[in-house]
Amino acid sequence: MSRILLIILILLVLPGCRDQKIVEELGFIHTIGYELIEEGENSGKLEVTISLPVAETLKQQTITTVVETSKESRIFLSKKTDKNLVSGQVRSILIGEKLAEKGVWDLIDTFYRDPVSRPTVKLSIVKSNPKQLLSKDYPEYKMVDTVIENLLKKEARLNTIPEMDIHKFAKDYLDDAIDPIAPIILQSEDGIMSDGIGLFSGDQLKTTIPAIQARIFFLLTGEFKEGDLLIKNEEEKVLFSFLTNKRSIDVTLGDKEEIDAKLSIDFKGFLLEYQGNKDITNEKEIEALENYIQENIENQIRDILETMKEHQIDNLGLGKYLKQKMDYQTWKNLDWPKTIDRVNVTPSVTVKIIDTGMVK
Amino acid sequence: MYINKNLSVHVKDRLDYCDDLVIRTFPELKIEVLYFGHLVGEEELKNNILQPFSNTNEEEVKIILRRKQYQQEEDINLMVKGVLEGKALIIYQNSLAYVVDIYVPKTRSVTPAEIETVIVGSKEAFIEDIGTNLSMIRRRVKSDCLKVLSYNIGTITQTKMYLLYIEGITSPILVKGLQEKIKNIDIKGVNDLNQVIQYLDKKPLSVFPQYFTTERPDVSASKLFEGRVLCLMDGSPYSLSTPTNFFEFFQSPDDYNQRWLLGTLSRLLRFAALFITLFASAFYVAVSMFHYEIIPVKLLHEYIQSRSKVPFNPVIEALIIECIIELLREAGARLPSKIGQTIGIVGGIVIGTAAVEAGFTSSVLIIVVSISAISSFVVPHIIMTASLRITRFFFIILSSIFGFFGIIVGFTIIMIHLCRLKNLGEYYLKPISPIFLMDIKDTIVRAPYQFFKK
Repeated sequence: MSRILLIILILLVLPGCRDQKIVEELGFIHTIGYELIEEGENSGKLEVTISLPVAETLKQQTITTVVETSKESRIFLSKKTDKNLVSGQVRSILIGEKLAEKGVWDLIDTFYRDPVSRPTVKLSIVKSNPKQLLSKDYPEYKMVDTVIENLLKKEARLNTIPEMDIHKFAKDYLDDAIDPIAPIILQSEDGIMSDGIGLFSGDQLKTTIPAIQARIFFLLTGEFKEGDLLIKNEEEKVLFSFLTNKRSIDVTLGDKEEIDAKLSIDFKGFLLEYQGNKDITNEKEIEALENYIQENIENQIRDILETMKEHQIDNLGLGKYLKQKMDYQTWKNLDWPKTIDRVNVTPSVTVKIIDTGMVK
Repeated sequence: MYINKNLSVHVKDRLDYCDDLVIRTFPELKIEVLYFGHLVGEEELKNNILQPFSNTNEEEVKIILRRKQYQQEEDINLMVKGVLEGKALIIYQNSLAYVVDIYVPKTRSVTPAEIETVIVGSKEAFIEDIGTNLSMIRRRVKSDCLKVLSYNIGTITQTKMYLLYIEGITSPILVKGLQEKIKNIDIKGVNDLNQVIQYLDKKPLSVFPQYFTTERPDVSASKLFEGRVLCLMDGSPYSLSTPTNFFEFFQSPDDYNQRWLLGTLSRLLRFAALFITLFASAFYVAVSMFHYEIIPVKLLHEYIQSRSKVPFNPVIEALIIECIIELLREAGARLPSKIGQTIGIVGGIVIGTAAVEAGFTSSVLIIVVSISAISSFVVPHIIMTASLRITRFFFIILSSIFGFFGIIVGFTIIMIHLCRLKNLGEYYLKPISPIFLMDIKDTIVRAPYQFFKK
């Protein structure tokens, strides 16, 4: 009997320490945007924009505030709404280009530590101002924030931008053998569009890769397993769809300071579309076409590596293969990725067309 | 009490003011016959009383009374008891008494089972007469190993009770255990077997039924083969079997009569229904009061829109709708089936739709509560269904205080309670706790019969 009384007592006392969050009283932040202000009296401060759905009308509400650090933004933002702001439903973080160039780890860290926010929060860089992107009235969209979320998801599936969530970003940032990347979106006249990959050094945005080259980048990271590849110059245009992609990276340490890396990619696939003057019913001509595709891809790979060497960054993760080959002290002394110049990369691409499809 | 003189007066004195007592005298034979007219069969009365004593003389009476069906009785208590049980008492020369059994109960005929219906399988159900019920069991178990022990319970009602078991399969300890329990019941009267099982409960405060009752003779017979003890009671169309197991309440003869794959799947469906009916509403309350993070974003918008009109806290909202469902169920149970359908329409369609439109409740909750109500009726045994419905309220209240943590705590408490329950020395949650892997083939799933014999 006394045990039952004890249970009742516990039940009566414990409601005092409850942590209730009743849904209709909450403001679910869906997208949160950060940008650095460079001009005017607020120069150097952060401009924080959030978007949240309004329960009664199902429209998107956008609130902006200017704060000194990202942590205090919640206090100022919640003054502007009747809802209790919560971050458990945040789906994407938009970071302005100017802020990204200065460093984003402080912001990511806030989300990364928060037990409520999910690790799959998508991260992207906005070329224009995130505030404008979120608050502009797009008549065709009911809620811009969900459009952005779906756009990122779809483009990541098509391998034009990376699917970058804060967990992956933090992992790459904290790993000294790889530098993080992030997708770039911009506001165009038609609406919102994705625009390639941003390459980071540490947590600072250094340079970007255009969307066409982005697919080649994903071939190198091995994420792009099957799909379509467009290769064109003035004379020819090839749409090549591949089914298998075998990628391997071989690193050999030379005698002195030399590091050789062999990037080999093996494709098998079929032609979807061909416009040009080769006769693709002829086997020799097909071989020539294969060689043409190989060369083209190899050239693009060299371009990407040139860009990385120029900025002394390693977003491909070559460092991971290097790290496996050497002991810890040597690796520490190497000061990766500043020494990426010393790596001699030889791309070797093999393309096999197994079917020319309906064009036959 | 043995009396030799003036027997007739003494017996009539005991049965004083019983106006339904029929007394027939054969003065020339010095015979008096006493019986209750409504307890005896006309044919039997004619064969055993009227015909033998009508065309005879005084000498032959003695010879007639030596026939086997007339048992001499000396104890007056037993004579009165015999009359009450539907026997005819023959008093000869006011000093010798004979009883003859001419009892024919007036009961309804055997009808199909109404609560525990099956799709494939036997249709008949027990009726109120214990003899008919026993005959249904005997017909299914034609073995001399089927033993029947007889008892009377209730100091006034003297209700007849049979305890059945199969010698060689049932452990004698179980038989002894139940015998003792039945003998220890101290009540004046009892109407139904479902009352008796509550007297047998070891933990009367538990919400879960501790004895298994069924209205189906085929299920009862199968309990006998499984080595359980069976009880029948006069006046009750149910049988009781023990030791009882939690998983018995989730089995239906359909599982065995249909193919094993369907049997297994429908059993798994019932266990899914068990969890849905226990946790669905509690889950809703926990999510809308504590764990907004797990709502899918596409559902979130519609959900907060419908919630924003509701004036109540989610737990109050859930309790109101749960109570409405209980009202509908209770109203439906008391009404004849033709009016019962109206209740379904009024409750389901009118109240459900109107409640959402009036902003009285959110549409998501209506779905959740209806699914959990439907799930509760998937459980084949109505006694278990009732227990689950009560437990559901316990979970709703816990989840409104602690969220998911509360549900887990509640589940743990229930599990501990179920693991502790024992029934004649057998664990209630066997074969899950304590675990017997070989027995799972006929509890959680229903394996093909070829697998049953090791």
